[in-house]
Amino acid sequence: MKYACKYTPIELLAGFGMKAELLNPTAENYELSDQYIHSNVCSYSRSIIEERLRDCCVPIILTSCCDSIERAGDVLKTLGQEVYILNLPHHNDNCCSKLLYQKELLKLIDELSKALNREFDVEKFYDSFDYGGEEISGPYVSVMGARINSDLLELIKSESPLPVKNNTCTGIRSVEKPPQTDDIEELMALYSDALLSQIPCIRMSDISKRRDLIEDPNLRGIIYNTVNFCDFYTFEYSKLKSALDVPVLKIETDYTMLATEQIKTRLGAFYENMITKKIKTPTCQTYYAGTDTRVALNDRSPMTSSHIYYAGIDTGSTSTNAVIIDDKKNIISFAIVPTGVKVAESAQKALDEALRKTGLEIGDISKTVATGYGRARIDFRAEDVTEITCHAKGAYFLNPKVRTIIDIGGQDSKVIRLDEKGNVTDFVMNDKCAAGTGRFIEMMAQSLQLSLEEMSSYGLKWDEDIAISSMCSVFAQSEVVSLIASDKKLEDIVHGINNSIASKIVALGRRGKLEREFIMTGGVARNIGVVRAFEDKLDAEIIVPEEPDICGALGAALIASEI
Amino acid sequence: MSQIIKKFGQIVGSNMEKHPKRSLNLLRFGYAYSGLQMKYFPEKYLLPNQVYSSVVCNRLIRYPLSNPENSAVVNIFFPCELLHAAGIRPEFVEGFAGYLNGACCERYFIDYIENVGMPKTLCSYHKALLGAAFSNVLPKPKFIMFTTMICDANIITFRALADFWKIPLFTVDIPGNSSNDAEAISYVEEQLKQAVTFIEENTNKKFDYKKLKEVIRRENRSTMLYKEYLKELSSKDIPNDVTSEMYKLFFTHILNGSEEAEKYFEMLLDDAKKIEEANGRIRILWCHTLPYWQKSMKEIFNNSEKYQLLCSDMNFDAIMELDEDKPLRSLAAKLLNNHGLGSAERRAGKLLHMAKYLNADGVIYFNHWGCKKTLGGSGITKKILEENGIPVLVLDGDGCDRENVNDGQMTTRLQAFLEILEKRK
Repeated sequence: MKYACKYTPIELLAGFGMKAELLNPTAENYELSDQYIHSNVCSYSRSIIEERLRDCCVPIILTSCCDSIERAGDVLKTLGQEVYILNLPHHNDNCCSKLLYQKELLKLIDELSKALNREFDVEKFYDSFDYGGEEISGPYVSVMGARINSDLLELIKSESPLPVKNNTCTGIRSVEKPPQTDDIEELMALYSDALLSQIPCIRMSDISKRRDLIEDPNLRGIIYNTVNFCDFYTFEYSKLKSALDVPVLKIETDYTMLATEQIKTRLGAFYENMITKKIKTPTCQTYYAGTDTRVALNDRSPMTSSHIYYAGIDTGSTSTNAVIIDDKKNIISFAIVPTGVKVAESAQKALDEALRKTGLEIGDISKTVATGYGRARIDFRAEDVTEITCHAKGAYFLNPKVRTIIDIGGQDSKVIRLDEKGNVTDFVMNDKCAAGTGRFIEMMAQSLQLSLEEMSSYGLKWDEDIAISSMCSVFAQSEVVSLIASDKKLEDIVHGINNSIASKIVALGRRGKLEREFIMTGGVARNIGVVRAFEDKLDAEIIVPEEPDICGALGAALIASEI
Repeated sequence: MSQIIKKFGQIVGSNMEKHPKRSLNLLRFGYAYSGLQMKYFPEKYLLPNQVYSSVVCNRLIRYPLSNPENSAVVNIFFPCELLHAAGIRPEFVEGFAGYLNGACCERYFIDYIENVGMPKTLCSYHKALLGAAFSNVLPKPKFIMFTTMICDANIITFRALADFWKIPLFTVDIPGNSSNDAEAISYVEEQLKQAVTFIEENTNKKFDYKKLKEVIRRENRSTMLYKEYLKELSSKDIPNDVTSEMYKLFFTHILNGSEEAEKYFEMLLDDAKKIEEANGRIRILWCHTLPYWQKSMKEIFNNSEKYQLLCSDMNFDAIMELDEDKPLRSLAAKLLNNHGLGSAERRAGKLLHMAKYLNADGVIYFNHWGCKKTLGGSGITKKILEENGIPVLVLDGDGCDRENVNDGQMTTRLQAFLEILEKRK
């Protein structure tokens, strides 16, 4: 039998000689389940249905742990599958709920005895409690929050520099063995108590014991997992994030592995930050000391007599950028080339272009650090570092007063927060959605039949404040088409589009938490209309580097000079 | 939507963060004004019961804004009979959030709470209320009481509110799949006893069971009137509109047992009796809450000569006579009897029964954003009803957040469905 919730009495099932296995499928897609259940219920529920429809064999046992799972159970039952649903009380702190769950357990024994024509074996029940888990001593990273699929957990483990504890809702099942008794009713009362006394999942009424998960001196960082359309855990994440000293990273998946690359980037940056916090912090101050504020890049790039050079390459979805610096951290040269089909070739091309401008040769470059989505595919790199860390390095180098970086690239956008030493304290990225990215502006420009340059200047000449309310870029495009049809001025529509981008990104970064000074990087920073929209939203001036595209590559070059 | 209300909403929203008191005063003023308008200048097509309901609901929503110390925040399924007996006024999520929408400011509050860290995928009614509380616009009530039934958002919202306001919270856990189970009734009854103690402790007053008996008697009289009304509705076309149907929820749930509710059900039946037999309108049974704020929906259903909006299923989710001698036990049984609890088949079964009883031509199943139980049950319900000859339109929308809706697409789907029903008739 397969089970979905940690409150499932799997030891009771063992008493019937049944082995319970966690139902935790990674979905490839939701083609089959979409025919039976709405896509706006929790993705885990959909993944259960998807798996069961593809490969249905053993019965499953669910609890009424949440609305989505209850409905998934309903759907599977109507499809003729063997499903048991146990009523799980919300109260974990009173005797009435323990009594209610005891009755539920007794009912289950009764049902299983009849269905299997077998007696409940108390000895097997007791024996099944000896499930020795893997103990971790010393510093570790905790995965908390909603259930996590095993592929994602493996990814987290494989990338982590420290051991990883699975403290998600199904990861921390630990039921104490009840005292010996032959009276089944009494035994089930004790067992019910033991089940409900576990470290609670968030839907229980008393969650104070969850404190045990965070009050541990060996805890070094938390990866907080949420599942799309599961609402339970997100708020705990927000509370933990503001209350804890250890870094916390939130990841959200739809129970597929489609966002693996983006999650890898996030994990990479998180782990880098976690280590930097402990080890590298003191050196950062000397590294950046004495840099001035808001200066043009060219002022920083006098040719010097230095013979040691470093390169940074940022392979983005739209452009690949290269920056060369010398050992005094002067920018010697940079280049921006469009990203082609082959990432490595584009990287080589960008570096060649930057070298060509200076008369240097590839052999003159001491070290190269790669960043961006294609960073791992660049063979000549000494190291690869995520663009989050690189943007932070680059932006802080350009202006050490910067505390918030707004980076809007072709296909993703990020808000990165820095502390006074230039360390990343926090970052957020957009999800798999084009809204609030460069691609969004391109789509809108297409609808308005404007060039990107026109999009930039039109946004400054508006009269009427039009709101583009759709959060989805596809719907926003049709909204824009209707605005054109209703004879609205192009300038006003462009302004509305700019505001919608600013709103989306500011919301992403949580307005209250964004501190001055702001810097905007990425190609979209060239669009003055968008920059103004952000300035209005944030009620603050935004620094725009002369070459906003190369901030990540600059950071990579600076890191190259450090290793 | 009138430009003036839109502007009003903008001013409420723009003051929310820096001057929450100002936003609150604006809302108080705006609602007082709309209350007078409803009372003295109602829409001409409204029946007397509909005018009355709008005025009473307006009063209910306004009360906690000025008298928070005598109010308790609850969910729509909380047995407010206990509060009526204790003289505490309830303030419920869907009602207040709906009113924020009425003032065109719901999005500001939803934005606010999403920025605080609440998930976007949470029910919009809950997000709007949370935003109003966390932005300090909504004054802190005396305490919070809720039931866990039907909607997981309750657990998230009320825990967060109690934590934010630092006020007492009481949870009544309602098991999902055990309506006729004596164990479950006892479990809920025991909690209702504790709820009474909680009210006593927090009001410093002895709970008056005599008053509860009066409340239960009034509720039983109301139930009889309502059953009679539904019988009238089964053979008549009784004018209805999307807003009045939402207001009906106040009386079938939050206000049930109060004097206002009894008067409402009297008027409802009176108005129905004055109407002659059906004249061939397309009869629509609604499932779940209604997007009463959507202009396109109002244009289709309000004061319509073509379509009869019969009833929302939430307005007959737990019609049950209570035992005045066992008030808490019968309230527990009523809670467990709600067709929204348990499997999707249970709700579909009740819908099917009422669709037949009310001679409905079709059912509109409204998938309100964030309501996982409703969303998750839509496929099963459609299948069951259609196998029994009742056409169903599953309509995705949002009962509270006007920016979360693709109005054009919704209208097209709705109209196409109505065209199909017309052809069938």
